[in-house]
Amino acid sequence: MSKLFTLHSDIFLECDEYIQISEYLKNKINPIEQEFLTEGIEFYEKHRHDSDESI
Amino acid sequence: MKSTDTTQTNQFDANGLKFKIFNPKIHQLPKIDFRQTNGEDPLSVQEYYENCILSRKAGSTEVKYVIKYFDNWIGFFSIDLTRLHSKNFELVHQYEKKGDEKRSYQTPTWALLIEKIGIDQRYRCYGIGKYIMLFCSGLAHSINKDKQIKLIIFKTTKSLAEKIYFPKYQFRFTNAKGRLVWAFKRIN
Repeated sequence: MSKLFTLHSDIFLECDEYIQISEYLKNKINPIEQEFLTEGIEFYEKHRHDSDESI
Repeated sequence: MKSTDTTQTNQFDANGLKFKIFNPKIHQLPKIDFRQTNGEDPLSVQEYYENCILSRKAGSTEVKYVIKYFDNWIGFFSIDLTRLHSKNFELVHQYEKKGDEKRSYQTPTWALLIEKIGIDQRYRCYGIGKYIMLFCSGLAHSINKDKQIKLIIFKTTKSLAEKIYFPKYQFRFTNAKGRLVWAFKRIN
């Protein structure tokens, strides 16, 4: 999935927490969330090479 | 606001932020106070900073980013890919049977986990948390070509979820009896 992560972790949620998240995921991304995500994509693109610079 | 506490003002220039993958061999960060203003550390952020970043020990699997504002180190966050499961699969299975939609909850949900977020006490109230969330959203999107990652998720206090993460950034949060909750938001 990504070169950034070599391993992954596992989280075991309480049942009601897991169901709450699963229910939330049944809906598609809404316009407000999409707007935030679009802003995030632009912000990340601007900063993704910050680590390439010197200290 | 380039060098010392005394020069801190209400002006904040987001162009001065840099997000660097922490490299213990080259990054030497100062001691920074990440506790809450009341001195508490309910999410063990200070403890994590001192044990995993300040000590410059390598080891854990998560990716750590350290944040600079012009010449000052002002924060960090650590992230990991994670799979979400239910502790009690039987209860989830019963719920699934009652529901209208046939959907298997056996398959774990992939998420980008923000394990820790630390912002220097002196740099709070500048919206740096938002920039961290934007960065993580963009990062998750960039590594998610196959659309497997569904969420960004992190543990926080119920108080912060209610006052900041939900109203400002639309992060939902789990109903919990205790002080801590999971905050989450879909990314596709």
